[in-house]
Amino acid sequence: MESNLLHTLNKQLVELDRLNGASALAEDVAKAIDLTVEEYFGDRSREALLREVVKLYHTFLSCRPRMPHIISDLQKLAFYLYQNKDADTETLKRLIKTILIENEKRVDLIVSHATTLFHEKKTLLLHTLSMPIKGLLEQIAENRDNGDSATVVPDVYIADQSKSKSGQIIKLFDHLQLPFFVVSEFALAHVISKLNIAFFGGLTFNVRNEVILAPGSTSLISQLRMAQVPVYLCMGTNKFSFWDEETELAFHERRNKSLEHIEYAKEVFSHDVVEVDLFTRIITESGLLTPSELRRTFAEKQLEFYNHEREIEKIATDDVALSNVSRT
Amino acid sequence: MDFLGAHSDQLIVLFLFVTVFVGIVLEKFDKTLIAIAGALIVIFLGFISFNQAIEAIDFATIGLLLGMMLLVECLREIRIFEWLSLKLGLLTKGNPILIFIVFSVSTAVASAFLDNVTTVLIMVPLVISITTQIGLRPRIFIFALIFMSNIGGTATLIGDPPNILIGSQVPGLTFGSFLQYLSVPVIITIILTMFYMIWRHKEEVQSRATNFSWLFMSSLMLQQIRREYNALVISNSTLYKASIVFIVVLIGFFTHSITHIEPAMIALAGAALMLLVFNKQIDLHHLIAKVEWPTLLFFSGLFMLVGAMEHVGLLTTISGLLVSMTDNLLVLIIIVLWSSAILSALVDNIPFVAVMIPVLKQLQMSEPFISDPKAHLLWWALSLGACFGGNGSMIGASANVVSCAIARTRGIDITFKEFISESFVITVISIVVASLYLTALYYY
Repeated sequence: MESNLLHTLNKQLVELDRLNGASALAEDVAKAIDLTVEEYFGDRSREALLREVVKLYHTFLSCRPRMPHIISDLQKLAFYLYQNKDADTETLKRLIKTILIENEKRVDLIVSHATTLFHEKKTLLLHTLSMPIKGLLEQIAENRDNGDSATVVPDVYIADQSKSKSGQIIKLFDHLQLPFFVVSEFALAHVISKLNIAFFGGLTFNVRNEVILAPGSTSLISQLRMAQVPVYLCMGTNKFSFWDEETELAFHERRNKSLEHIEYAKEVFSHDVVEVDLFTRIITESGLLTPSELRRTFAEKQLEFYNHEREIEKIATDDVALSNVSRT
Repeated sequence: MDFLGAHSDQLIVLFLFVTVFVGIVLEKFDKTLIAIAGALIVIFLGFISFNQAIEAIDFATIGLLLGMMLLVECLREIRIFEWLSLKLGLLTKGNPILIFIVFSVSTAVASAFLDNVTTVLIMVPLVISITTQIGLRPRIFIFALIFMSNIGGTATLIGDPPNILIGSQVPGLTFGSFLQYLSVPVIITIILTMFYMIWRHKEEVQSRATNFSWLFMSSLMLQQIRREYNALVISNSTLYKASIVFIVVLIGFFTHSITHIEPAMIALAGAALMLLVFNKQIDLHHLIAKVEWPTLLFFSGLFMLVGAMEHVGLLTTISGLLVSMTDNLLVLIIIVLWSSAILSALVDNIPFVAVMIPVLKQLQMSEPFISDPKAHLLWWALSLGACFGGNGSMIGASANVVSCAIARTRGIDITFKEFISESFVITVISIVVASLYLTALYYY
């Protein structure tokens, strides 16, 4: 992909991630590949498709910040085309559908594990809205409507951050007719004694044992830990970031501002970085994991990822290997 | 002022009008302020009394403008435009040539029934967003929307302010007659403009269906539009109700020559009906605050100035000058067409049209044109010239200024020179089409 297209795609991905969240973006990318395969008028042979998918895979690897769950999906597609000599556009589209269903199931599993924490009345703090947190709230509302006592509707405090982000949460609560209170994220101290659980949505977990999540989360989590409020992270294991490199973890820009006659620059970061050990439990599709259990799962997934990566790298760096694909 | 004599009065009023005109062009002050100041000066100097000035305001035009503003704002409040633009985005399938054609044609059609600024406010941000997301240069698409809004707006009585002025002030010109006389040159010009732009920018609008990476980006953009479209909850009943009211208004416009209901009344009644139907969704106070009152005041100021020009006999003098230039109607039609096109390209066409209407009215009533059955072609020459001429430069029409401003806020700087290099041929094509069309109408 030409550099200007890479730049455009990178910008678009960051924007879509900000607008819709990481899981929704992964869904959109999978559906976009599906549509691309359908509409593509170029060479539709297996080796040509493999070449294109690998190219796309490398483009996503070049994007910053990297989006591991999408890269992982693309790796699955490339590896499938590499391994199956009967692969064609139809089977590739079927695999994309399978990936979409798997991703949905992953969210459903996280939701079902999260609901176990709401068998009794809780006072919950929410800061961001991720797909699993949205699913959890919908499940609680559905249980309430059905008279199902499996979950009890919690008292919820929304830690108010940017208008659009908090607005999304408030709209959802309004839609589900769930009660809520809003408190400024910097005034948490005034209500912290009432809280007995807090939920955060995670973007990535990396090799440095850090979780990347919404800006403002670090200070909230520090306060919550000091007040001994259990802090839970909702995140699928597809969000593991396996690369150890010296790149910035958060998208960073400098915005020019003015206050009356004073011109100044404001440093804006897209995310916060938090040590995984600060979380009480991490709610994944495999259950409620402790930080050390999460690290073990990470190591297993990393090994599998790199095995696949090595195979794909062979295709990308060696034209002969790529042409041999047709004879595999 | 008596000591200066009648012609001196005319010269002073002409000087004041030219000053107002130049003031509007220079944009040092708000154009509403300049027009109102000009009107107050002619009243203060006694060229026209206060009562005469108020009488000079054409409330048919003001009412039509107000009614259309309210109607458009109602539709915006219920988010019909948002829904429509996302639907168009999906229709393009991310294909550059389809983006070009779908948005150009839709803009032209929408401009015929909505004001041009509203149309570009809806279309330009979306087309910038779509094209930049898939790595296309948005300039060519922005230009297409600007040109199409000005060309499309020419087709109807309510499409462009010059037509609103002409349609409201000239007896006998109906919504149907605008469509009857103007739709043919408008359609021809739309087709020629699109062909010319596609030919000139074929590299940029060609399909990229053989480029996998590019196709992926365009599919991703479509996914985002689909997501926004799904998130936009507009019930079918809202769509049906809004469509029915809008169709009723259009029927009202089409039949006003039979029903003898003023277009202004139809637009105002349409807005009232829309408010009644959507009374729970639209806040009246909010809606009224959204009306462009400065624009209505600007028109009122101009009407008062033109009233003063009429009162001192300046308009009779101008029409006399035109008659003395030629007694050949076709030559006069061509002069009106090209001069209004050139002036509209360079300055705001509204004051020019406001002056030309009474001038042409007097011209039509004078020999030898009073007995010529083709004299009505002068109105179409004025309309085609003023509306098509708006494409001539970046400041030729409000839609141009607004579109370029939207582009600038998104990091796309369109220079005056760049605009002219893109618009010159298209403006010339459109005026040549109009000239040939009017000549054909004159002979057949």
